[in-house]
Amino acid sequence: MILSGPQKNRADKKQLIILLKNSLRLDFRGRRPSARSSRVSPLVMTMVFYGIMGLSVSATLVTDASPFMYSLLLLSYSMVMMVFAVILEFGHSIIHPDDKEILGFRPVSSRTYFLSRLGNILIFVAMTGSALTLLPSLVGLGLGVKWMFVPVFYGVSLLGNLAGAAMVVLFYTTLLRLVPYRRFQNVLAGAQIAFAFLVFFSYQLIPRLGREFLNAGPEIKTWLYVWPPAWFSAMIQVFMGNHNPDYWILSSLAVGLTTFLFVVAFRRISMQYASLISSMQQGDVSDDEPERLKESVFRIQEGRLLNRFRHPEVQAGYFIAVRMLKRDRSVKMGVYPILGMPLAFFALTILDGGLANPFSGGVVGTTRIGIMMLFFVMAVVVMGMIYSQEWEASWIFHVSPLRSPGHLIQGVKLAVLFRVVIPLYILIGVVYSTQIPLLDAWLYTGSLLIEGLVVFSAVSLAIKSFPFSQPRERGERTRRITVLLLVVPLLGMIILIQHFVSRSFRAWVLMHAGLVLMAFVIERGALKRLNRVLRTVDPV
Amino acid sequence: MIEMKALTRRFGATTAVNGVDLFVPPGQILGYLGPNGAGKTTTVKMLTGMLEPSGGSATVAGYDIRRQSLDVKRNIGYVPESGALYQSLTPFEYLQFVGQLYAMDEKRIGRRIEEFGEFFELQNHLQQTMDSFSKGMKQKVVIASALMHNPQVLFLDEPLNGLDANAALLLKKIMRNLADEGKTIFYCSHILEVVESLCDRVVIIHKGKVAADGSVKELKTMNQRSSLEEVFSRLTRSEDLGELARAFSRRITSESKEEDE
Repeated sequence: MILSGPQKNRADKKQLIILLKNSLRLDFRGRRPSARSSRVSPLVMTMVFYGIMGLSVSATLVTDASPFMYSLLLLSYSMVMMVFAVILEFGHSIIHPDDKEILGFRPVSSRTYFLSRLGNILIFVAMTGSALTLLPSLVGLGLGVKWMFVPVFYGVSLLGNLAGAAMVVLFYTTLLRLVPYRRFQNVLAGAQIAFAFLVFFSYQLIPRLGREFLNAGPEIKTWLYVWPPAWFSAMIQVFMGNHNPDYWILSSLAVGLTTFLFVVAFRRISMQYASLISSMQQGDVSDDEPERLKESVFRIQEGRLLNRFRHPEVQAGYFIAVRMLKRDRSVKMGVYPILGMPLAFFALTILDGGLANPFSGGVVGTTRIGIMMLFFVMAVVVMGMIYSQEWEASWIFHVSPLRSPGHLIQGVKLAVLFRVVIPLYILIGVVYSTQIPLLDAWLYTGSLLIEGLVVFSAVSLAIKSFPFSQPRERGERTRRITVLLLVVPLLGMIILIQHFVSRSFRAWVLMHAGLVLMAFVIERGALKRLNRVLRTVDPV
Repeated sequence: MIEMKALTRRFGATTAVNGVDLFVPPGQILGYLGPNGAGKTTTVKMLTGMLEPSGGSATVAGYDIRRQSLDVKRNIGYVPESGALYQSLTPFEYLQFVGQLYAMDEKRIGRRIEEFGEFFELQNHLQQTMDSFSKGMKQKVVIASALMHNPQVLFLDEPLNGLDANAALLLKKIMRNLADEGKTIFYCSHILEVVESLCDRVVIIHKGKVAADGSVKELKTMNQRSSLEEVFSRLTRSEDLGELARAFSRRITSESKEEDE
């Protein structure tokens, strides 16, 4: 048992270092069960992507922005990215119930254990955050500032990133203290979507606001006082010798936040951490009346519908995916936060007044970007369905007589389509119906679904494993999201094609018929490939 | 039945299973023993179609493991040592899922689940997710999943893991009955007492090769030992284990005394 009694609340430095070293070793080494899998750690890949991202954003800003706005916009990007990364990786870091099996019976105090987990996540943030801000700190010299800017910008942005990550940790650990673990898992899925929505909404909102006053100081907008990246940007100004009172006030907020997080809040949490972990483990067992899961009418109907599929593999894939989407902690955490992204873009479209009738030539870039994001998010969700905390149970796929293992993946995709994609499209259709004529709204939503199906079919070409057969690795989710963000600009091409096609109804019908055919052909090709690949994949 | 001819599996420079020849007829319970890393699991993985052999051949239930691996899989049941299953499912859902993988009819699946629930005393837990189950309860579900489709050949890797005395006794009796009905049982275990009492025949594998093959009685006679444990030790360990244990205990005790001083 991890000691939680009052006599053992001091952190043991030696143990802390050992635990930290071990967790870092595991993060970097990864635990790929298949020899065929990539040998490059997802963490390293994430750092490379972040490096590219930091460089491109800073290069865009350095010619126009004032030093304060340069810092503000870059810090906003890096803090938002770090917060999102911690949200995505949370299930893998601060909450890690498996540790109880390994460390539970060792003489480790609650505080030592908590500090090791916190330390691990902060090192993760420091490394990935450095990848994002190191190059911008050098590019910042192009602003005509003193060389001191480089270490100051880098150091303060590191502090800001750590504070951002710590805020998420505080939010979730507080939530865990307030809500029983069984319910926490359900609450968390909703919280993840909301959190991701806010993060990506801010991510896009900041450049919009920033464009208006790239050369301005902090005195012009009061919202800077509620935007933590502004506090840390002001701190950079103070360190650079700019003693504007506004900068001092904002900096003091940054200092106050950091002190509160690392001195007050975590001191309290660390003492109760063992009991939190314990409650996570025992939550299900200690309930007087265990939850009984009954077959709902919907599920029975769904079962009948599934029976129409010729291949039992489709049924099995659908069956397992639906349940994992509902219950597996790591699957939920891998899927739901990402859904906040297209929703955020969609909200931004409304904010931009972009929900015009596309059949009247009113296609607006952000509308398309938001909805195209949806396609790619769906692709990421499907890709994520090969990961699970219960990956060891995937031996069953290797000993089962699967005539067509590719159909198993198709079943999983079908579950994602029915349970995740279509509800989201319905939501989009409903919102469109409030803005444009009903028929146009649903016709348009339908056309988006057809376009999305092409992406959806193509995903199978990238799958190399059985569903839920791979362990989650640190940085794996972040990498998927970062890749997603990097490919967004490419969507402009699709938008351009659609713009010309939407001018003629005949061209529109032809294009969509072509897309359906394309989706079908890709799916057939992918199925053949999956059958070949999955038959030779190594067992866990 | 199971038939292996010079079955071999190499991992790089290491040969985990080295030319194993073995025939297990229907109705026989074969105890497959060996020290850690001897090649037991690799053999099972090859026979269950999870791993491609590097050399040799094998048939299971009359089907070639290389060319007819699907037919092999249709006719085997497997209880892995890890006992891993999807804990976020209920036993009902897990067994339903496994039944679907074997293309079983939904009605038959439902009937089987009811029967297994009753037999393993899991009726009241069929609709609870398994994350709160004890090791033994999970193991019962894994065993049920291996028997769902009435396989001809059963591969059992430490199947008694976590089972209470009653459940273990019950399982041993089931194995006997299944063997009497003509099923082949390939039983891997380190619990030699169980192997001694249950298996018709014992094969000891050491460094990837068959070191001994025969009934328990034959092995004892051949090696002039009174128990299977002693036979196993003689064939797989060259040192005197008793002396080794005494020397080790002495070293630990003397080191502790030195530290205390």
